[in-house]
Amino acid sequence: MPLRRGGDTARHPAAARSRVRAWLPPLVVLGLAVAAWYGVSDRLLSPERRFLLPPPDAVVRVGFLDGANRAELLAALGRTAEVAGLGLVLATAVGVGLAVLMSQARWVERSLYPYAVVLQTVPVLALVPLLGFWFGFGMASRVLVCVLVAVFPVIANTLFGLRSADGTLEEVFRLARAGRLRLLLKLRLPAAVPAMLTGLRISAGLSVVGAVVGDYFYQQGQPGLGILINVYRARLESERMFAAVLLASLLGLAVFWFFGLLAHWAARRHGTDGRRR
Amino acid sequence: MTERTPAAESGGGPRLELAGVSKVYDDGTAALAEVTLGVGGGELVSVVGPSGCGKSTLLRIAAGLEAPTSGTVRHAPERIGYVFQDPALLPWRTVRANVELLMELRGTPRAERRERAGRALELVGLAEFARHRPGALSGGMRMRVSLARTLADDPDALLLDEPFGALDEITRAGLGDELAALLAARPRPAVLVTHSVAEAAFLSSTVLVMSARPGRVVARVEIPFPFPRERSLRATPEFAEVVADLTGRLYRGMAEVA
Ligand SMILES: Nc1ncnc2c1ncn2[C@@H]1O[C@H](COP(=O)(O)OP(=O)(O)O)[C@@H](O)[C@H]1O
Ligand SMILES: [Mg+2]
Repeated sequence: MPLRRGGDTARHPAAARSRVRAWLPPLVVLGLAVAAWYGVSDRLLSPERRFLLPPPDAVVRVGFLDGANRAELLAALGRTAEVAGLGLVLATAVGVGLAVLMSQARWVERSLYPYAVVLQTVPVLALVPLLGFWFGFGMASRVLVCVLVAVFPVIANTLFGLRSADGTLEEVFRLARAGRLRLLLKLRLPAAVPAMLTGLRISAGLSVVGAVVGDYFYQQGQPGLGILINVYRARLESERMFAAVLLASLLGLAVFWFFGLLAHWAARRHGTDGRRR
Repeated sequence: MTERTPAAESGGGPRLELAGVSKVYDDGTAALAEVTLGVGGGELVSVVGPSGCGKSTLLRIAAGLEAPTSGTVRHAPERIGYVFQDPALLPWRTVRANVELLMELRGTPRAERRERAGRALELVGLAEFARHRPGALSGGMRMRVSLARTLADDPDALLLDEPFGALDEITRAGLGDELAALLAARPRPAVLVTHSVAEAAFLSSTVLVMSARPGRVVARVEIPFPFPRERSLRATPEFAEVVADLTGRLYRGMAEVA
């Protein structure tokens, strides 16, 4: 006997099935992970050591159902998201700007690119205290940390995208006597959009990491998730610490997912039909 | 036709003229040897030859995209329309916006752009696809968009690199007629690279047959039929004779070097 299905799924049974196929495996893994979490927390750990891994329901109860705790966590989430967002916007502006400059002449690229790579290889964590020294332990340094960790993927991917325009197309522009600016605005930049979004997706995740790390180190000003994690750790309030860690992870995930969607949407508008992702 | 005639004697109008042009690429590939070519306004010269013999190289040199290793481009109009071997469309633009591209780059006013793009799309039979993206079209349709882009720009010379290669016979013949009409309406030099000897014979005043690489001109055949040519010409024994002669020269040219 056929199952009764809702209107939408009944009309597109294939689409519904593929959606189930996409969502089911990760949900199963999530279920297993939660079960394992309970297993360790309830069975393996003795009650006095349970703070090392409080069970999920305790994390939810203490972290999210308690009004005061929830308010504190959400406010911190807001601040961290703000720092990460601002950092990402700046990293994008600086990164795209630098990539455009580098794309204009090989000598510019040769002069600048090595330093962009250095930025990627220097452990930014080591720079974090230094930045605090120079720029104070406030918003500016936190945003700067985000920019430093997030800018490289934007530069590298945008530069790649700017160079990805088909050679014959460039000749079409050349024959029409198009200048550099026209070439950039009407060919190179539009051609770079999919690669740029790929870079942005990576950078967005890094920016969230930067925001949490900066906050964790600076320990001053209005608390973001980094400060909360550190404070809860010091006080052995592990349920609240887990809740904060969970929120930071969800923020990273949401950002990654959002830029994934954006890249997909742009690729379709772009006429490349999402094949390049 | 007569490659040594100065521009003044050819009855005025834009001329395209290459003299003794050779090309050796940086990697040592000798692509073209001593090619001389003169095309007057309203003339269509076709180039046939085995693939890899330097036909595209010849057009690229004529367009100024490539510098000859020796020889000179004596005359070339300022505004050259070049239909590349691949359609070279911007995938993020609609068909109409693609057809408007060259005019846009040259600063043609918007209203005029629209109108000319519309007419060019009518001409290649793609008016109802104006709002599609190139990705949604077949290879042959994309090539027609590319052709429309060049025609809408109304250039002073036309260089066409196997523009009809991916098209079916009927579309091909139709576009050939349009090309002839365009040249008649406003005389300008045109060079057509094609694989089809019959097409070359039907459309052109002169056909150049090239040898295998490095491409030399092994025959310069004037096609004796007056313009405008009726399609029925293709069915006549005289036409068949010309095609057979060209084909023979093409094969002999290929054998010469290989
Ligand atoms: N940029 C280039 N560098 C080196 N060799 C090239 C280049 N362009 C074309 N060639 C070579 O020159 C020869 C002629 O090429 P082309 O003009 O494209 O021939 P055709 O259009 O007749 O098929 C080929 O052997 C090709 O591989
Ligand atoms: Mg070619």
